[in-house]
Amino acid sequence: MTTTAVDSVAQSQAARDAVEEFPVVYDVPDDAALTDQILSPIWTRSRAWWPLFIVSGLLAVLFIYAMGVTFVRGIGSWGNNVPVAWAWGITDFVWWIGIGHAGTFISAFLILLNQRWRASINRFAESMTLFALVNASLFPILHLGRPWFFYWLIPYPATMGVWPNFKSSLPWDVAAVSTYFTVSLLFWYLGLVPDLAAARDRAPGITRRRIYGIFALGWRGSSQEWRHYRVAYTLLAGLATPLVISVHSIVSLDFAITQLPGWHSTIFPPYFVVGAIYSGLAMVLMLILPARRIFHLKDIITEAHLSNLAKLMLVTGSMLAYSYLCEAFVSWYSGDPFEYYTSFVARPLGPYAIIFWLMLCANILTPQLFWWKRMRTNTVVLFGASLLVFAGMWCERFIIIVGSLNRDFLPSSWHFYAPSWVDISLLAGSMGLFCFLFLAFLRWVPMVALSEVKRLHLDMRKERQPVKVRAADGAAS
Amino acid sequence: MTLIQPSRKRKPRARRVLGEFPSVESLLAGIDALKNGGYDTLETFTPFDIPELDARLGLRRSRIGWLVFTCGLIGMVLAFGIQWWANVHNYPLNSGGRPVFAIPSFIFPTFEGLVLAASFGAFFGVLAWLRLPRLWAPIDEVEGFTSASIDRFWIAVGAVDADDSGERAQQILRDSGAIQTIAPADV
Amino acid sequence: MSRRDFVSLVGATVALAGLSACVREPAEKILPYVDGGPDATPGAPLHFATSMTLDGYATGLLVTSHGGRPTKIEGNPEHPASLGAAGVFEQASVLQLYDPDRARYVQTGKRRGSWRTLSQEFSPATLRAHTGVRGAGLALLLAPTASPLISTMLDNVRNTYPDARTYFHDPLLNTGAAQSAIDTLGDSVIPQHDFRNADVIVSLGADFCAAGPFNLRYARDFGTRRRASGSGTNTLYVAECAPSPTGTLADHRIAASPATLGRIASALLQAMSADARFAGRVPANTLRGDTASNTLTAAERAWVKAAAADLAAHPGHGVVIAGPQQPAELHSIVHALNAITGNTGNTGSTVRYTKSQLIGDRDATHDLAALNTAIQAGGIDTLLILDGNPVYSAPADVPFRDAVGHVRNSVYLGLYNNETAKESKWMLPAAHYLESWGDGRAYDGTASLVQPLIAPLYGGRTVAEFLALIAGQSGISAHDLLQRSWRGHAAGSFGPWWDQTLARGVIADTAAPSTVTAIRWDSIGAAHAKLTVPVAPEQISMRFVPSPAVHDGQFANNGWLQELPHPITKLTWDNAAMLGAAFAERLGVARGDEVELKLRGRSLRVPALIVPGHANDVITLALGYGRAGAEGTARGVGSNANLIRTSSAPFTDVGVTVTRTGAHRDLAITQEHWSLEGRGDAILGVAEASAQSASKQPQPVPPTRKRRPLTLYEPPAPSADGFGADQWAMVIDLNTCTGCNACVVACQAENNIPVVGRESVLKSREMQWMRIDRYVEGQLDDPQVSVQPMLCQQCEKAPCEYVCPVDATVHSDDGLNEMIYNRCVGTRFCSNNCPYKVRRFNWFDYNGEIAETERMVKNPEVTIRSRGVMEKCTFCVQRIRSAQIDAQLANEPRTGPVVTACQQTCPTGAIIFGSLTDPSSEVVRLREDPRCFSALDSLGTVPRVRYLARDRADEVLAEVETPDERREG
Repeated sequence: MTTTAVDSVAQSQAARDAVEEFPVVYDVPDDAALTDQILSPIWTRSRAWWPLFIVSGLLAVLFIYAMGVTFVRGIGSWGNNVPVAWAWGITDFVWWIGIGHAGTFISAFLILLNQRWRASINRFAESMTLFALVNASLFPILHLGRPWFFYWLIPYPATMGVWPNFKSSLPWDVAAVSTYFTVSLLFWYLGLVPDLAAARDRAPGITRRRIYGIFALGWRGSSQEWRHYRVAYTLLAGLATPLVISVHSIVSLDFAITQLPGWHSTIFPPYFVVGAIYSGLAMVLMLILPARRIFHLKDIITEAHLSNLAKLMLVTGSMLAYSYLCEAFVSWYSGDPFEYYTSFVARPLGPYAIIFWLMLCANILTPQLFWWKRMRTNTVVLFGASLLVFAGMWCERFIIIVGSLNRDFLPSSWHFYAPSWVDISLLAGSMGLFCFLFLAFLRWVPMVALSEVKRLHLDMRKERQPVKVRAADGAAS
Repeated sequence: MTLIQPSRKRKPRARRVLGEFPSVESLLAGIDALKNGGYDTLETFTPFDIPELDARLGLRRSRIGWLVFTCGLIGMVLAFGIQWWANVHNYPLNSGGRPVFAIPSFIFPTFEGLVLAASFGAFFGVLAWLRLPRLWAPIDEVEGFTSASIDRFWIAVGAVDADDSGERAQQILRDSGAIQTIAPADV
Repeated sequence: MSRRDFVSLVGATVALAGLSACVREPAEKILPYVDGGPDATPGAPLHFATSMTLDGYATGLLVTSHGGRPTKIEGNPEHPASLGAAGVFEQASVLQLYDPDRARYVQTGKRRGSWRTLSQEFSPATLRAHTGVRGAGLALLLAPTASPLISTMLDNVRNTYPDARTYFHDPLLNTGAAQSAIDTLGDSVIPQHDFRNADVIVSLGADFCAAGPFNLRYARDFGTRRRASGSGTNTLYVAECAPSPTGTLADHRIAASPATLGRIASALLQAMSADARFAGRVPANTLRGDTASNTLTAAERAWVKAAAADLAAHPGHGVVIAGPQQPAELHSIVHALNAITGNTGNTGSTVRYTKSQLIGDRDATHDLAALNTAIQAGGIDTLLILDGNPVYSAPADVPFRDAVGHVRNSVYLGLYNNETAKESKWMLPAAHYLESWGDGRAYDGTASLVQPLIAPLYGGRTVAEFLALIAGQSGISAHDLLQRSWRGHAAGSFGPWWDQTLARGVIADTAAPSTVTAIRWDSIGAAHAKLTVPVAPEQISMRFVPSPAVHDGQFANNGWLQELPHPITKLTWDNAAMLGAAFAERLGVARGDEVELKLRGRSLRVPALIVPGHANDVITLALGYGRAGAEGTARGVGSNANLIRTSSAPFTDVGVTVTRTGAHRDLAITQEHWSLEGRGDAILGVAEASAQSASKQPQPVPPTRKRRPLTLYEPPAPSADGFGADQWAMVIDLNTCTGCNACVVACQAENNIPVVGRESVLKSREMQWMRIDRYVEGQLDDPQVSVQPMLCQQCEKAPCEYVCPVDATVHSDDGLNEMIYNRCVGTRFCSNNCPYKVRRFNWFDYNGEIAETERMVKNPEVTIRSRGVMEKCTFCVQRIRSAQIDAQLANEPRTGPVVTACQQTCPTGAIIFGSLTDPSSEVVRLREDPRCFSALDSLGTVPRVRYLARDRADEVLAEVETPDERREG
């Protein structure tokens, strides 16, 4: 057996062992069986899938209905008012786009850092990014007073010679979100091409073979193809990583460029990016935990993944805690009475105090569980904690937006905000749409990056000699 | 097997011999053996990326990076230019008492323009470079070739022997551990 | 049929009738205010002088007409009751003209009648057949009026029907005040106050700056005096039950329940009579009874002492004024106080007396109760109710609804199919004053003409026309009746006199002359004795007050007024039991808790509203709500206070019991927070600056106020094309702003601001561009109340502008923060970044849902905003641009003076607008005043709107009085 430069990845095995408490992939059947396992949901129907798909589809219909109400009756069907001109809609927008961040982060950032545990979960994460972005990009349009004119934010040569105002952060948002969605889609799709080729080549029946064949673009895995593909994919990852940072930084500037107490803060860009990745990690966990169980993926999504994600949550959660602290400190240290009031009176004691404290508990206390290894691998704890962080991060956006707006400079304009049924339907409906799209993804798209897991599998076998192999690897010997 | 029939007759390529290997190790052994046997025009088909192959096959590093870089540069200039044209040149307005040429504000869309154009360059560049999508290729007609995307590793040997039998190349492939070889064909 | 269906149906009907399509000019010749004749440039607005009558007294107005549609009301500068200002009711009355709920046809029962059948039915012959040859069975019920025309017509009717009986009813009319004048001054005279010369003003329950027949004039005089530089300011003492606009202006205000107010008045009189300077002016033994001050608290005594000292120090230069709805005894004491201090006397005095101009204000034998008795007694066959809404506004002990039913034939002439119309056999649509020929008298007696700007939209007739009809003059038009009644008045040829008078609106030299009066001290003594009778402490008083929004209910169908925040409580679309904080705590009620008020065996459920500065042990409830007529807007809004109000105590009653019902009602309040949260200096200006100004010595300008904010950028250079030649700016004087809301309605009318309704106000979606912020500091029962008009501050470094993604709000060269409505996509980012929260958003298509007639009130100079668009004050940019165009056409080097709508109507003149590049403009001068500050200055927004900080002397009162108290103790 030739063991030359193949295991270049395994060179620092000792170092890896120190870091990796758990193997990133267990012994799995051979590549053919693995392929069939991953692709089987595409060819075979699962009993749990349809009810879930229908329920989430109904929620998506509710989403569309609430959107229709918003379009036909006007934005007044929401609970927004003056001073709280932005409320649930923008909360949902920031929240969804934040969730989207972990996808690209896991996928692109870990590629650059050569973190191979990304392989089995990056497809989940990237898909999550895309679907979260679908939701995220809907909310700013919905939230316009005249949504049918949303394209006025895009620079196009209008006959009147009017242009967007690039001093405003909203055209930045348009640029950032649309770029992010496009690049994420390209990145996702490019990564998917070899797996689509596998699906094409394993598809039962000519129709499916043709459909997947079209989407596989004629990928054959030749050395020429891999040579360019590798560089293009890595470059995309390299572009996507600063893009991730930029997107939520720009979203945070929607707040930071204003002078509203609670928004007017220079810490916002990193604070938002960290919070975004934090919430996205929670979402990834909430998606892979059931998927891992239902589709029997425990061999390829191992405790290593769970533990690493939990550790990342601990890290980002702690960074978030630091951000909270920093924000409060600056409010106090600045000596600005308005800032002080927002940080120390309006938020902790004001009308939304319950949400504020819920946010603090959920976002800061929850990840502290992950100091313990047992907690990091306990799926029930992981799921519960993710759910808490998931909700806590929504609360954070709500507190930042509504908690700042409802009590600003002039007490005369202070007013309480309460959501309308349309607001609630839009949030529930967007979750429904997300689940709908994600279930569709599970059903029709290879859910794990097959080609990468195969490669990882190979590397792992190299590392852990002798490898117990179930099927015919030894044909060469 | 035909997915989509070719619409017109393609120019026949050099006839090649194919070998199917069960593992990366045997694939690499096969390449070494073929090179030793004087076969230089080799192409592999693998289900996943094996970067080590580049050196053995004598492939240079992809130059797609330059394309991406150029696209990024164009995107950056374009994005900044649009903003300058719109807010400084064509329609300068007093907005909040800020200067019309507000470079700090223009940074963000400029960056996004760079990333977007570069990403388009990377994605469409690689497709163009590889002439994808190409839904049918002669090699698709080879029986069992579909395993190249699943768990088998294929070698295509070009410049087949003078007698066109390809027997020697097939022999080398078999000796290196190929589980199947295909006689010379226009693939 | 829902209201919306009804409105759209009505709208369609009107559209079919071609109402909105063609101009409906009156048939007779009407004359615009400015010279140049009625044939002006098409498209350019014209202004016509007319007058509006409220509570019997007329206020002269100038009405803007666009293509034959009256759209905007301003005050007539030549009219003494206006001096160019207009109040909320005058401003809003133009919306009433176009009210789609107005009565449209003559109706008998459910059938539609016509004026022709009516004129047969009510011809003298027919009437006499039913009511007797001398008209003994005929009764007329009118609102008290000072109109010479109606007076003449009434005389005609009396000549035709000598035995006909005439009654008068006005729910707000206080016969006590008239009675007091007769008792103490020997004649039915009314006081005329001159606040221009008043150094000291003591108001006993009088909101003279914002309510009452002459309030616009009084406010103007008061404001002029207070703002006059060099001569020092006046001092205002106010003792009142519920805080009022005038009360917020007070230097020394004290909350007093009705009983306490009487004792305060008596104590003041005692203190004055004891003053050595006025020795002998009060006959000995007049002021028997208790020493009033014994039952007063220390704070009340301090207030009385300070007011007495101040009045004594300024003999002849003080005004003591009692509220029009105060009891007779209080009015008597006030007459005495003015007499002692020499405020009355000659024609130049601060207080003069003139004969009352009102018909029917003094005669209790001709009021509604008397009519009711007459009907119950039988003998009245035909009842003519002309104007008013007596079935609604009758006191609870006068079952007038039943009385109308007892009459064989009844006629109601009114604007709406209201409660009275429903009970009457005949409903006749009245003409709105903007559709009428007529006249009226102001409070001071000055007569003015009413000329129509538009032919009656629904074929309405005036009271005078109907009176002429029953007097057998049905063939004569109101125009001719009016000309006939004034024909004798013209000095020379009638034609030119008429044209000139009609154009100017005011009939010169018709003010009532002063009368000489002498005090009858015995009646003063009686009043004093009555006021000082100790009352049981557990007695809770009940006050019924006119609503500052809907008055007595006649404006209840006016959306602008229903949505107008109460000047103090900021309550809209409702009335509530207003009560003091300590009292509320004792009762255990919180805001919005429903309480049951039981008074004289009747009960009413209303929501409670705690008002800082409201006296305790007393409930104040506004009249005019709880309407049950056919008016769609008014119906179901608030509770009808008339249901527990009795004719014996129509304004102040005692013995009410208050119990919680346990229910809760949401109150649509536009400003929910009273507190300044320690931000007073940033919002209302720095106290030191006020103190400096109060010391009346020129002070160097504090450097902190004049600094330019730190900025990285040079200010943009003004453009060369001339539009940057002016730099518009506004200064608002918080010393004279009463918070009366006149500017709010003026802005609403000028700028086509929609009405959003109660549900939207509950969601904080009100649309008024100008709002009056009200802040309260200190003790809730004795607070310092501040008001601050808040409108777009037109920041030079506008935070709203740079966040707009589509450049829908940008800065003009002349310093305006502009809104480009059709560019706005509605991100609302600008509102978030506006520290003043003065931007308003069209959450729904508010303008798409209004009736066809209501569209006619829209100002064509101002864009109608669609759904999803942000809007805000633009300094009346349409007026600025119009003035610029005029200047350019005339080749003037400088744009003439531009007056914004809020400035134009402000009764006290607290709003000053002008260009910073005009060295002669008052704005430039006032911006150099040390009191001048910009709100939230530290944010660096550099507002073009600045404020003059309020002078406060409250602390001074406490310092002066403390040693006195110590000595007494």
